[in-house]
Formats: sequence, structure tokens, C-alpha cells
Amino acid sequence: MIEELAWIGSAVFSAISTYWLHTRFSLSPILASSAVTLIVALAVQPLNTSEWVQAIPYAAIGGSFIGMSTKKNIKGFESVLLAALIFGLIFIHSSKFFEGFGGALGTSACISVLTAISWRKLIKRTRLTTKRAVNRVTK
Amino acid sequence: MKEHKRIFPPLLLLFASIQCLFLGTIIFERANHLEVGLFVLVFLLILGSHFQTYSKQRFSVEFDRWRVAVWVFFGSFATFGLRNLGCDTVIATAVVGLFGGLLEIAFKSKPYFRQVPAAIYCGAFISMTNLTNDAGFILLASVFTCLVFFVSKSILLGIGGKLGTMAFIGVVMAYIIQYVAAKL
Repeated sequence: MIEELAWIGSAVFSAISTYWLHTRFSLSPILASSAVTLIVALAVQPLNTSEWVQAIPYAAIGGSFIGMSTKKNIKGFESVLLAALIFGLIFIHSSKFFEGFGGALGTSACISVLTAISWRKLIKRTRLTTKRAVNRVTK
Repeated sequence: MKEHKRIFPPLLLLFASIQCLFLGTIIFERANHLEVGLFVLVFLLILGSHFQTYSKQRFSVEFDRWRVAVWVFFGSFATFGLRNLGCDTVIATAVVGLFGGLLEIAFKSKPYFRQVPAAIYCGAFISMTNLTNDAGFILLASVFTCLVFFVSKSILLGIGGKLGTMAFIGVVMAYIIQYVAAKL
């Protein structure tokens, strides 16, 4: 349980900090992502005691990919948080078959961002439809 | 820049199928677990997202420049070299990405260098592969990723993880070729 929380926590931290760095300070997304990842990896390296601690930088780099999304696509920190949580879910249950494939973390991040965007659109559309239906009934 | 309308549907299908394959393996492996329902929901949302992109896009795809795409090779072999020197995988990838980002700052006046960091970072993900330490595999994966990078300028614009997905497509293709070659 602790390891899963640590992975999700590091993914959320790097996603939010990368997004904040590149949207607030107009930093290039690549520079923001690599800087955040490097900080987390260097901070964790001396603690390299067990396998789950060694996996924290992997969760962090995956999370930082989420933060690379533009403001136009992913609006606000809530959407970034939602995408990071979905990424955490995929990271914990990642496929055994694709273990060790380069780019798998990026694919997980991309899936998380697209899912978060779709989820928000779905919620928005459902609210709109409900509102229209209520208005029709009250008229 | 020239528009390439015909390539959009197959390109979107390639991205959608690789993501569905990735989620599909998780669903397959976790079929008897309770959390499989969440992954089915994610799977459906991903499919919905790609269908929406397909229906809304006006089928205009621009290609990147070859001069930019070839930096994928630099990214992959720089990370591969750092890893072989004993550097940690994540640190090696981040250092190469940081170099790309700084390159953009150093040559701020030249528009050519605006796209280069993305190609370098995309290449760096290829070398995160732990399947083999063979330079030939990295080269093959880089060739495929370079091709995908070249044609995918207009796909998933501004979506985080796009570069990683392109690297993943390259690695999966190289893996399939290596697997088929070993069977022959």
C-alpha cells in the first residue's frame, strides 16, 4: 500500500510541477519535464534500498509527461490531477508483457491525458443534456 | 507547407490501435480482478476520444522536416551511451532531455532548433528499453520512431505522452521484426 501511494504521489507531484513550470513561466515542456524528473531521480537515488523505491523515478518521469500537455488541451490543475491519478492506476497495474519496452510510460501518460479529457467532456455533455431536459419539463 | 490528407486516418488508427493494444493486455492479464472494470472504462474513453478526433479533424496533416526528425537518433544513442557508462536509466533520459531543452535556449534565434528538443526527447525514450542491450535493436527502433515522428506533426497536438507513444510504436515494431527474424 505504501509503495502504491508513493508511486501515485510522485506521479501527481511531477505532473503538477511540470504543468506549473511550463504554463506559468513559459518554460519549454521538455525542459520542465526533464528538470522535474532529474530532481526526483537524484533525490531518490541515495535512498535506493528496495525495488519499489527504485520505481519512484519511473512514476515521476511518466507523471511529468502528463504535465507537458498544453493549456489548450488540459485546462486547470484538476484535469492534470485526474490524469495523474489515472496514470497511477495504469502504472500500478502495468502489463507484464510490455515490461521493459521503451515508451511504455509515455503511452500510459498519453492514455491518461486522453481519458481525462474525454471524461471531462462526457461530464460536461451529460450536465448540458440534463439541464436541457429539466428546462423542457419545467416549460 | 504541403498537406497530406490521405495519411490522417491510418496514422490515427496506428496511434489508437497501439494504445488499445496496451490497455487490452492489461485487461487480459487482469481479467479475474475487480479493477478490470476501471480499465474497460478507460479503454472505452480512449476509443471515444479517437473517434471524436476523427470526426472533428478536417484531415489536414503536415509532415515535419527530415532535418528535425533525424535528431531522434541522437537522443536514442546519447541515452544508450550514458546507460552503458553506468548512468541510471531515468537520469540518462532526463539529462538528454535537459540537453535538448538547453539547446533550444542556446539557439533561440534559430527557428530550426524549436522542434529539435522534441525529437531528442522522443529518441531518449527508445533507449529506456530494458529488453536488450543491443545497439542494432536501438537503431531499428530509432528508424521506425524517426518515420513516425516525421509524419505525426499534426496528430495529438499538445497532448502529453505523444513523444513516448511514438517511441513505443518504434520499439514494438523493432520487437516484431526481431521476433520474426529469430523465428525464421
